[in-house]
Amino acid sequence: MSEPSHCRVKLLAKPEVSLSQAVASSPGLRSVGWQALASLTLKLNPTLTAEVFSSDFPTRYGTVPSYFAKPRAYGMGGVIVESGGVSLPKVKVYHTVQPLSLCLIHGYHANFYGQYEVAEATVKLMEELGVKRLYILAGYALEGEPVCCAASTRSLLEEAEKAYGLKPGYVGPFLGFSGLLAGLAGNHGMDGLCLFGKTKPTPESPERPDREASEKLYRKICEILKVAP
Amino acid sequence: MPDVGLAGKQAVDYLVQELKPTLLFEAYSTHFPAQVIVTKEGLIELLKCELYGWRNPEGGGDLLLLTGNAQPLSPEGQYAFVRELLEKAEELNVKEVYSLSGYLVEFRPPEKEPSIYAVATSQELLAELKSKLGLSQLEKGSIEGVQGLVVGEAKVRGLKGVCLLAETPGYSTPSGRPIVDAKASKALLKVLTQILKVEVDLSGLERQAALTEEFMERVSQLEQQVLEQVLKVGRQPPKEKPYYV
Repeated sequence: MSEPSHCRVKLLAKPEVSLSQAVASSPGLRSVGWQALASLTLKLNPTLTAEVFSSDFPTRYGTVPSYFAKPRAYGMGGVIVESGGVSLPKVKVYHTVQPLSLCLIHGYHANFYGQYEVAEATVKLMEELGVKRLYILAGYALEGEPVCCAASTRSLLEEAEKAYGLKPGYVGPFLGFSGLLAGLAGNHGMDGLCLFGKTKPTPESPERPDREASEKLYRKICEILKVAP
Repeated sequence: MPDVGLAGKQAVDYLVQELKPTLLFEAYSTHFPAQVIVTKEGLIELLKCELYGWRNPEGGGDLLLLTGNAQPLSPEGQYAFVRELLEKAEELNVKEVYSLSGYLVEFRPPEKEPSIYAVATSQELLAELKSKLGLSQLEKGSIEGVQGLVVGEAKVRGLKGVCLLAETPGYSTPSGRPIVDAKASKALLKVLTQILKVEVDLSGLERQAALTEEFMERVSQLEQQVLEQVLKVGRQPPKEKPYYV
């Protein structure tokens, strides 16, 4: 079903080469994936490629945690203030060409009405950039391996186990921007591999960073991308 | 699609499994919950509904079957979904719409077969169902979500519509995850297959129902043990007298 569009993409610097791989995350459980992506971004010093804006991006959410979108919980619009400057909330898409061609996606959770649209717009942008494989970084809170995985295809699951010793370990819903990105990317014919870093939930502050879990996840994505951590 | 006790969803899933219909459409909605499902095998699945078509080899009425792992959460999404669904159904010459769902009751004795309630788009249709199949009438209330709306919208479009509701205590695990009430699903299918004059072997659902009952019995025993422990601790005198200023 189509909805009126509230989403716009601002292309800032289109890379000259096709980016075959992407790594994405968004604020989530104990910020495990978010922090790992921040570390990777710091390491690679990428160029800002595009920004995705949506009128469904709140700065204050109507639900806790932010990725638990519900109807009628619109949140509050506004701007983000940083070092005295202001900017609209947005999904940020970066790219690197050297030492590897890679797209980095810093997600943002829309309210209930924008989640699918924003994820779809981001997937279309990835398609334009030539992305064939997407890695999603996130946290999980069950007994299991320090890092487990889920994938869009059985063959990718087999590859993840054989090449990187990754096994499935989380069963259940994967909420918000990152989950939808993984699902929609699969529908667009991209490979999607989710890496979940094990953490313990802190319900009073769901996104409080678990640096140890993020570090393990960061090392695993570096191993996969063949980047020195 | 998901309902109380997953009674209706499991009933249609079982029909899909047994009749082996052809997948005609997949339906996605921006009003579905903003999430994907990670399966036991480790595969990522988007939330979606599936519409199947089945040709009756006996020459009776053909069927469209709708099932899914989600339904739209917002009223605007539910209306849009139902309208689009019925447009497709009318294009395919559908004349009758049956919706299956659970009907939440506080307690259903294990030995009792779930009662089936019916609501219909006309009094004549309801009277026919009651007299032929001995169904109970739902006097007052509302049926939430797509299961209810699809029958309401069918009435607006001049289609025959029936919603069958099976009594279910709405089983769930201690962590709140819903458990399929296969006994309720079987009761729904017993009635539906009679109405549609379609033969389906329901023994698979019987086995599943027995497993559910066994699981719920164990959960109930565990809960009783925990309650007894809590009461025992509560009865013990406090080690130190409370001190108030």
